[in-house]
Amino acid sequence: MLFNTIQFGVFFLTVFFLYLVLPHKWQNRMLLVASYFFYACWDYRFLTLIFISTTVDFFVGKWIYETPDRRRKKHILFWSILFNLGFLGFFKYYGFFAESLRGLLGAFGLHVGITTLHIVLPVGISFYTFQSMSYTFDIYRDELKPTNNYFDFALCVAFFPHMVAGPIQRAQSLIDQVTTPRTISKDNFTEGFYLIIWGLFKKMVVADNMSLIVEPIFAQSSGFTTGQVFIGALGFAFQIYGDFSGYSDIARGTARLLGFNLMVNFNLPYFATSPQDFWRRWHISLSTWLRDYLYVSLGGNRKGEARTYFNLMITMVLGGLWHGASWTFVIWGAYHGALLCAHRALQRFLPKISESEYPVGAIIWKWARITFMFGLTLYGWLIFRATSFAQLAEMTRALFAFHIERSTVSLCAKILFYCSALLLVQFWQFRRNNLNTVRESPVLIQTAFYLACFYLVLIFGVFDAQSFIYFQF
Amino acid sequence: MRNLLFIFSFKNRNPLTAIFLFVIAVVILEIAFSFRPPNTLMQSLRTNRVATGSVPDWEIMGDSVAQGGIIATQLAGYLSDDQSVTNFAIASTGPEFPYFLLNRQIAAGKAPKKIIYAPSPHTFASKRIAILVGGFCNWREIFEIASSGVQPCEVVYGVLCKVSYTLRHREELKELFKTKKAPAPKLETPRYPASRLKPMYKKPFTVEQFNGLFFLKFLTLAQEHNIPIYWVTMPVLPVVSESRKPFNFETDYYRFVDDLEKQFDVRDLQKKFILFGETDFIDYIHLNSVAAERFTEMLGAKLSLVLSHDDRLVETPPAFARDRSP
Repeated sequence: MLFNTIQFGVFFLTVFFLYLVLPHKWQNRMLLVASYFFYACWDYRFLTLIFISTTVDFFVGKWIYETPDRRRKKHILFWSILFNLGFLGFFKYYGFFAESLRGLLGAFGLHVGITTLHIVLPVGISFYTFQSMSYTFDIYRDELKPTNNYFDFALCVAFFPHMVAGPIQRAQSLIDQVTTPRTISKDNFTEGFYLIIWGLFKKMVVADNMSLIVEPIFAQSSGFTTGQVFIGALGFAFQIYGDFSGYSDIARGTARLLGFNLMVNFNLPYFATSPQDFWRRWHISLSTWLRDYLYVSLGGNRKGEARTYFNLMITMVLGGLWHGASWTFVIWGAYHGALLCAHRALQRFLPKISESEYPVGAIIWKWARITFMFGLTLYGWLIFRATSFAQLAEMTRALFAFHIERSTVSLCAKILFYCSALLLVQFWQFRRNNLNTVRESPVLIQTAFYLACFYLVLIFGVFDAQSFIYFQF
Repeated sequence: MRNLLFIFSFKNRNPLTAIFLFVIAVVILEIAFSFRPPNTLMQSLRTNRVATGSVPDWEIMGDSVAQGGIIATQLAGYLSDDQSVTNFAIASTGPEFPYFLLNRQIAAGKAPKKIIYAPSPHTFASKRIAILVGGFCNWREIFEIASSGVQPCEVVYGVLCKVSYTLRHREELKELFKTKKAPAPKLETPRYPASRLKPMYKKPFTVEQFNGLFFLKFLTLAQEHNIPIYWVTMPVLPVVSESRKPFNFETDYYRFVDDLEKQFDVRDLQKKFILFGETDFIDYIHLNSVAAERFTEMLGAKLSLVLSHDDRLVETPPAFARDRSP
């Protein structure tokens, strides 16, 4: 059941009206049942995985909390991590590692028969596993007291708006919201409505139309031109952004209508001025998760310069691998790791232009950095989207051949046509440094915004519901 | 009054008012749009096909391929003088539509005596509930569809199409924003290459459940009212025929029609696929007017031959048809 379908609309309205009439305790039970039903619509068999993951982490959380000995706590946490990552590894990475090992041994002339299983990837496994793991991490770090109510914890893990593609919410914040009675205020309603309509616009108008431009380009294996590669990267940049941030907005919007507050997952990422800034704006829930639980646990920047670079690289490579079982994701992670390291090393050499002393110079410098960073991000998306190394190599070669054909201009115009409204609104948000700019504007502007989004979706939206890209992760 | 003016003031930033105004604006706009004349497709779908004229002796049913590919007046020339032929084929429809059309005609006492059914075989594989519900059916018919076991969400979407002008005309509205007109087709060889053939023409022959259900209802209804159905398969391009060969499309299609012939009063008029050349088509499936004339001539000759052997019909084919019969 995708967010951009009538099925979901009917499902959500049913949940919403039931929610309105039920008392708090029964609201939680109903939401849990609804969330499991939502997940079962994809594949009911994998409900078992969610159930096992939830049960294990619930009891492990309690066990860690009740264990006074620090070393023993560490042991329990270790086994809990091993269990969760084992689950994730088996369902998501077994085939990948088996194939890679076979290829590696084959290169040395060793032909070993490694059994590869055709395992179906459970939707959202990476998201709910990380969500569930953060609970035990926080208890281990004494940042969270375990909940005594199993159903409340189960709802935190399986809450339908964020279960399949995030945002990966911190256990602390969600448990608090589950356990305390919620209200559906005017503010919740209006923000929820805004997020849903904006999210649908991003998904159905921007992402799905970009997909129609991008897919044929990446379906080729050779014979690329510079123009095609540029269009492919540019189109995919807007496709993945519209797709994932659209999903996050709808998730946050539906949660908001139910009185929940999920974290902001995207903050105008293509306006980033540096790699560090990019990761503060892109998939914020994952990047903060990786920072807090992986980078910091590895020592962060507390163990010297060389170790900091190493930690950055490890974090980003694993972050890349989190996205999927493919070497292109690993390379994409490494690419961003290298960008972060390079930026860290070069930061002190970059000029600092004071905005008060040189206002024009500062603006030019800021936009130069934004443009440069966007260019780097585009190449990153090529790595991310490429179907193979051979295709990536072909595309990179074509990129520097500087052959631009006439169709590039018309495709560029098409991209601009579908993305102009998005760019306009985001530029406005960026100028005001406020994601709520639209909701805080005069009523007539807000109404015009809603009307524009609504009619653009109605006329230009792709209606044969395309799945969200991040569902495969 | 001052309160009313404040709503539109630039000082008013209340988000709830904005949502309220948005909903009102949508309702007003949709009502205003509904006064606009419908497009050709909607007009064609909404035309009351039972109220005008007398009861046709022969009625052609099908989609756009039959609409442009069989010329009713020409076909009438092959029948005896008092026989009338009407082409009621509707563009963008499929096998789920004839049931509703015939039902309306029967209810109005204007059912045809015989039907020439000329579908595009690929239309059996996909359903068009949005067009059926949104553009064709009345509320009673929508209720019949909803209670036939079809997914409720599909009916909901169809109903949304029915109430929203924008949703109903979205394809046409989208076209308005296309500034560049499609270039005129080049006279290259082949004019219709296999590489540009749409995926829907390269699929095995299947009958979608919903289509099957309402198509059987159509055949049953026709049989109950003693209306024989003469089956016609429209000509195809060699490239279309070739691309379907790996799927045994034609064999499966013939088997399907054969089964219908056994169960209902379905008669073979031109069941077999015939190939027409590239110059006979305006696209991959639609015949041009010259080819339509040629095909109708062929069909007329065959019809007169079939009728002359039909015990249930006593009539003499006109001289024109006799002269040209194969």
